Amino acid sequence: MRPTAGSAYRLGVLRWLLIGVLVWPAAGRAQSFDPAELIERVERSLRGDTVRMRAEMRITTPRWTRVVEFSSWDDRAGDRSFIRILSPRKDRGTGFLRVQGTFWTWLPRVERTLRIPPSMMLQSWMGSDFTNDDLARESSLSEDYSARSLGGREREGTRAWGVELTPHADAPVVWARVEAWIEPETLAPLSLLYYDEPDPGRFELLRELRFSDVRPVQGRAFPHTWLMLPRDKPGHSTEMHIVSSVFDEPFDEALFTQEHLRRATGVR
Amino acid sequence: MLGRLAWRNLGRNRRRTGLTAAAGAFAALLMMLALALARGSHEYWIDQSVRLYPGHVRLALAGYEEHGTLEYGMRLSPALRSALDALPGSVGWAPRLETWGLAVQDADGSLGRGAWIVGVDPERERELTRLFDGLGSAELPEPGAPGAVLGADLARALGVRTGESILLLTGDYYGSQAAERFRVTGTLSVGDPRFDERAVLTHVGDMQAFLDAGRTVSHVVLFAPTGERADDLARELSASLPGGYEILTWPELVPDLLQMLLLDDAGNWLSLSILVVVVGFGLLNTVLMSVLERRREFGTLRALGMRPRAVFGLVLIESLLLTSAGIAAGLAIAVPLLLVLERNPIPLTGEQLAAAVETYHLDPVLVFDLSAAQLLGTSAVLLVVALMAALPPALRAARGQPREAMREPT
Amino acid sequence: MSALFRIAWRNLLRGWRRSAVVLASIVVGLTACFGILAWTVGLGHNGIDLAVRTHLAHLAIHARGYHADSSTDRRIPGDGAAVLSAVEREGLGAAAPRLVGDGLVQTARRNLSAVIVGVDAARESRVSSVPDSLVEGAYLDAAAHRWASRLPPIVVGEEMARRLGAEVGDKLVLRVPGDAGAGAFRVRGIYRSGSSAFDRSFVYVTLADAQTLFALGNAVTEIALLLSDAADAPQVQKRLRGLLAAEPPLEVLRWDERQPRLAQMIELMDQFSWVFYAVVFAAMAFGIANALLMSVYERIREFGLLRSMGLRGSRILLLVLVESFLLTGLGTGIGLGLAVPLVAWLGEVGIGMGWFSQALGEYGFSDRIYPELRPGDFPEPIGMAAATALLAGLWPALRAARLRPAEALRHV
Repeated sequence: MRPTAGSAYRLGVLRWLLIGVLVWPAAGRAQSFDPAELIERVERSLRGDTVRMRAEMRITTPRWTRVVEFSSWDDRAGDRSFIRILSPRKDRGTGFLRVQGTFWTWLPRVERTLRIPPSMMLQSWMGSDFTNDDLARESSLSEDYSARSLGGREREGTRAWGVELTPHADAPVVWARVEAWIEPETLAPLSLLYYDEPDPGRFELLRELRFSDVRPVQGRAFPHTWLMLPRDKPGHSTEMHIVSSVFDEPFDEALFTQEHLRRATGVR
Repeated sequence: MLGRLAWRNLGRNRRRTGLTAAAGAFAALLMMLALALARGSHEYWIDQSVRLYPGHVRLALAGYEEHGTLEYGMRLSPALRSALDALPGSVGWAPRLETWGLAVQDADGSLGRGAWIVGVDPERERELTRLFDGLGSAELPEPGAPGAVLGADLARALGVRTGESILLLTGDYYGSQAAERFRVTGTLSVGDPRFDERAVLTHVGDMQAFLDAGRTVSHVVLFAPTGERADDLARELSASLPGGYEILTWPELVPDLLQMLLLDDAGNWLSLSILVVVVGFGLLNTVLMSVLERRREFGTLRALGMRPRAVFGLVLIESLLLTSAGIAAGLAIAVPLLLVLERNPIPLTGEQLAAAVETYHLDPVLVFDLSAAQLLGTSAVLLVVALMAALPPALRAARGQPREAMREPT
Repeated sequence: MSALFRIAWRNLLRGWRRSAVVLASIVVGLTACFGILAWTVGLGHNGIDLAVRTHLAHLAIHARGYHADSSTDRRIPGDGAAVLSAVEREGLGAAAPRLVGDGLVQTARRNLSAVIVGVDAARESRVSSVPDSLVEGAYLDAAAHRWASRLPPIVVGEEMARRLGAEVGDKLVLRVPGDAGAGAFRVRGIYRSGSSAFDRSFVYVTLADAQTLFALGNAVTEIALLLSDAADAPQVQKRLRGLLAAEPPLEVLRWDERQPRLAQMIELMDQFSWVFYAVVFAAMAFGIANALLMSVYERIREFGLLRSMGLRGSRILLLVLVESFLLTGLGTGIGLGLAVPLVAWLGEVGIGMGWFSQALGEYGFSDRIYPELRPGDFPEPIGMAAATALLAGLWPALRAARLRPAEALRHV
């Protein structure tokens, strides 16, 4: 066991941008890569130090399909996040606040803030194939796993770099292995594959997260569509479209407070 | 010839005959009472357990038993309703919409308790189940004004009383967060921790609105007139519906009840065989004694030229006649007695018993139930026992030396 | 009086076949009664024992209010060392500290709610049977940390392992409420306590690992006490309350106060077994009465003779009653002589109840019943046997006493 908080990411926004600009073209042309560094870079390019997003999440099950819209503020450095639901109408105004390991939700219908117990944390978030935990991103690919290169390979018509991630022995994560496939030119992620190990040495794909619709945002190649496919639930999928995203802007401290959570005017 | 002799012998010593027949009658009476009690208590237990909540037959979508989630909920369409109403083997049905969630006291919203939230149709439950029997004067949830009946232990843990309100938090039909405020209309205690510590019972209509579930219910439970008729009802139901449903009967719904009944059956068989042995000794005793008493008589018969085999047969026939008369007498007492007992169970008393009954809400009664098969079975078993009990005395009578027996004073 | 006994004894011996048959039915009935009684007692004890020895213990010390609202917020002040040493100094019984809290056990495929129990392995094995009930792997011994991996060890129940699809050596993630978050563990052992309900929710880690997981420093929530004799619980409870009065608010509760349902269920079973005794005794009484009655009729001439010799009716009444008592006494003696070794033997080997293990498990019983009789179980059936003899002998005795000598002598 180890503290889940605590991170090595204290880089200033400018410094990060500078490094990114300098390193990127060089990395793109390289024939080999450092897997750990690559994963760290991909993770950072997806989340930045902070990121504010607006997204539409289309949830498909064999029986129904629906769309959930939300805004999110993710402060990776401060290990906290905030989400506000915009639609559908029934859920509008519902808020989620995480500060380190503790979660609260604001329920506009009963006008109450509740602390979410861990049993509910592992359930699907808003009916999607993402769990609360996925969104809270308590676990981190670069912190909890060790990386090994799988080399370059042709995947679905494009060349990709593969990284095999094996969890550190004491990391509190359930996956036995995660595979990351990355586009070598732009360093945009293509897919993440999550495996279980039912018997020693036999790995079974349980879910797959596919990234597409890559467009540059603030100097990074950012995938605007994330498709989660749970392999053990045929007919179920969740597709998240990121409508807008702003990286590395400093957040107001007041954002991550229960007062803000309670304020339905926080809907933007 | 032997039969007539046996009959005359019985008539000659009325007192002995009366005593032996009385032993048979008493044995028959006791066995029938014990069997009827075993049968009655089984039916009673099944009835009590099944009527607490599970039902005789449960109808759900295929896969519900394994997953138990709202995803496997079924739409209670008008067509399905009328199909359920039309079943001849059913005495009624009740819809339920179940899910797990969090119950939180309204006042300060501190971390709540895990709750089993169940939408029911209170009127149908009142009629068909004993779920609300322990409710006392509290109101049932009315549709429209979200109300809930809480398990007493849950209410205590949350620190809420009747009239106050709680918040329920759970995932709705689409898996998104649903929260609602419910007024506590009462608490209930049925002696089962699943209910007392976790249950929140609301009106199924409110629950559907709360979960954005339209007309979806988790399952429907159906009731047959008796536990034994559950299979017939399940067959009728399955014949009247298209495929894609999952129909389970109470032994599958409450497997531990079935095992408890089997365990009790084993105990009953043990008790009954002990009873048969004790009763058999009683019969053996009387027949043996009547043989011992009549050594002179048998000696005379032998001296008159009757063969040992005939004496053996005579004793056996006497014994069978006696036992049959006894059984007939036993039946004559047992049947009316049991008919009365069937309608008027015997109440049990005792301080600890009262406490246990308070907890489990089972009526402290001995319930009897009589079946023709049991009457015939008991009679047959007793005849066999009588025959076996008569063997040693009959052998004795047959083996007696004529002269020796006659010389012996009584 | 002794003359009466002699005559009664001689009468019984004279009709030895008749006596033997009556005796046999008493012996069978009584042996059966004691057998059933022992089974009921064994079943009850089994339920109590299972619950007490797996987790409940005879007595438990908590922070005040824990019984009403069990949460890790209610902790025994300090690390419980003061309470532990007080208990041990007084030699009250075996004691073990625990940190008990709710959490989740997580694998890639499933999440299950669990009761997480942090224990001091050495002390725990003195108050709980779980350390000795492993079906696979090993308990949380000192070497566990160095075993196979750096992950801290966890011991789970068979039913939970089955539901998770986990085996010894597999990794599990535990998650608890609050800031502490989560920790990875490796399955060190799988236990089977005998109660499936227990085995699907209780998991064990070392006390230190639990304290880290819950981020609770050196806190404990419970001190469990196992006594050498369950019957001492009320006295020890009283003494402990006195001893701990100086400590900050603590509560000391007995197992039957924490689990009143279990105690009530056992009472209920006792009550129902009495219905059965009543039926067997009724059958027995009828057999005895019948035999005595018959022997009285058989000896009408004899009684008539005794009457005409000047013996009063009351003496004859007494004579028949004494015969009845002698028979019952002898039968009871032989019945006990058979039942006690039988029960002792069954208590040794146990009666397998594999068929019904699910039902028994649901109700917190183990699948092997060890019949037993306590000294307090004997007086009631013996008393009932004596009452039976009295009642069964009364009618024939009255008949014999009321005989008119002349009529009796004329009787063939």
